[in-house]
Amino acid sequence: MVDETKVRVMTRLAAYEEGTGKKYLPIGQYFRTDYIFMQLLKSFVYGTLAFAIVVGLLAFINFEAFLEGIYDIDLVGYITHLGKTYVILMALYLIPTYIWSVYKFSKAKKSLNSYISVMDKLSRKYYGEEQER
Amino acid sequence: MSSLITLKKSFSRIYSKYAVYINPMLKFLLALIILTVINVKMGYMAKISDGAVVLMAALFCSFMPMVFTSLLAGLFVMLHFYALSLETAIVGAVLLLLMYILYLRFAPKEALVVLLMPILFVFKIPYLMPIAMGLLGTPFSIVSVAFGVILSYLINYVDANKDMLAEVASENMVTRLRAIIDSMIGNKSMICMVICFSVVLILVYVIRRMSFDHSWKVAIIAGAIINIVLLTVCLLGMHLDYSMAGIMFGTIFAALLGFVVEFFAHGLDYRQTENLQFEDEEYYYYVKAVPKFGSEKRRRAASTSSTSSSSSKTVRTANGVRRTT
Repeated sequence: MVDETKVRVMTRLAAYEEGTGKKYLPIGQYFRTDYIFMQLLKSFVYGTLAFAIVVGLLAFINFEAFLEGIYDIDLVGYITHLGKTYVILMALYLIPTYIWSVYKFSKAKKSLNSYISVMDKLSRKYYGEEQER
Repeated sequence: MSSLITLKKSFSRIYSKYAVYINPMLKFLLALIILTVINVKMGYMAKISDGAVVLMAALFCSFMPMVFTSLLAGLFVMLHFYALSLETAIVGAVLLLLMYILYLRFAPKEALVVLLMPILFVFKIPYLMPIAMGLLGTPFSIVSVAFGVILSYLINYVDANKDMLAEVASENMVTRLRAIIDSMIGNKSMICMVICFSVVLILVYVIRRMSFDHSWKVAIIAGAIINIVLLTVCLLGMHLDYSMAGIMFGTIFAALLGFVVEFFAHGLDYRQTENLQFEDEEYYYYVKAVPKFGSEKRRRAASTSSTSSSSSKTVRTANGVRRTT
């Protein structure tokens, strides 16, 4: 016979997995530090790529001027300046990434806690049935 | 007001009943509008400006997630840029790429904000976006609004200089690239608009999060006033190319649309506000509960309280929490 309570609980779980859970269930597989580290690593890679694209475009535009004055340019100073700019921009990108990942992880945990409690309810129901048999 | 609430309720009833059909239809209409406006505004590549292509693309979007619509709109913009000149396409590609890898990976849904911005510029109501995102988004939405403004100005620049950009022999590639980038970096109007929209968005966000009555409405009005003031200061102080009448009427119209957004996304009945007080061992709680318009629970509660003869003000529950109403 169909157990209405079980159907109701399972429908709630399925609705969560199809809706909000899609966003949060993958986050639930990580520990907090692992998730934050992974997001920071991704941001580091993407940030470096973005920096390289912008520098590449600016280098392309100014290539002629660069070649003309190559002997007068302080190459070490130029590279140091580029390095400093890179570090500042990465810090400006990584700090919001850290804040965002902490916020997202805590939001996901909160959402997943209610999902887990419903899941526990269901498994207790199954366990109870098995005990009865 | 009651007729508006009835209308809202019937909308939500119809939507919940036919969501399976309405969602693809809305996606189709949105994609159709976005792609048509892009083609009308730019239209440099004849092949994708054809109505049949737009229809097919919009039909395809109706069955895909919303992110796909924004990607396709971005592709349309890029193809038009490419048809005009390679340099424009390079600048456009770099801008879109930076936007996607730096910001939109955190909030992919906000790609739509970026692409709706040029459309709102065409309809002369870009002021709607910071108000709407202040109401519905987060402070991080500043980034998508800013990228939207930059993209709109790039499209306008390309449109105004299409003859120069299309001439193959006139300038070399580097010169034209530099001209496009310089026009973007040194564009005071664009920078002022980005700053102004950021201030408006934050202001609307902060006010609408406050707990006083009609905070959303106050946020819209405050956002609109600050928008007018800041843009007027920019207009008079820096002699920028804004139209005073455009700012005034555009902002007023945007604020009115903001009220429509507020009605559908928020819609609270402040006349029925309940101020509750709780206390437990560690805290004293001052809770303000404002029912939504047309809420079934509220009506049920109202009818229950009117028939009930209980006049008790303080209730002590089983777990020791004392509740006063």
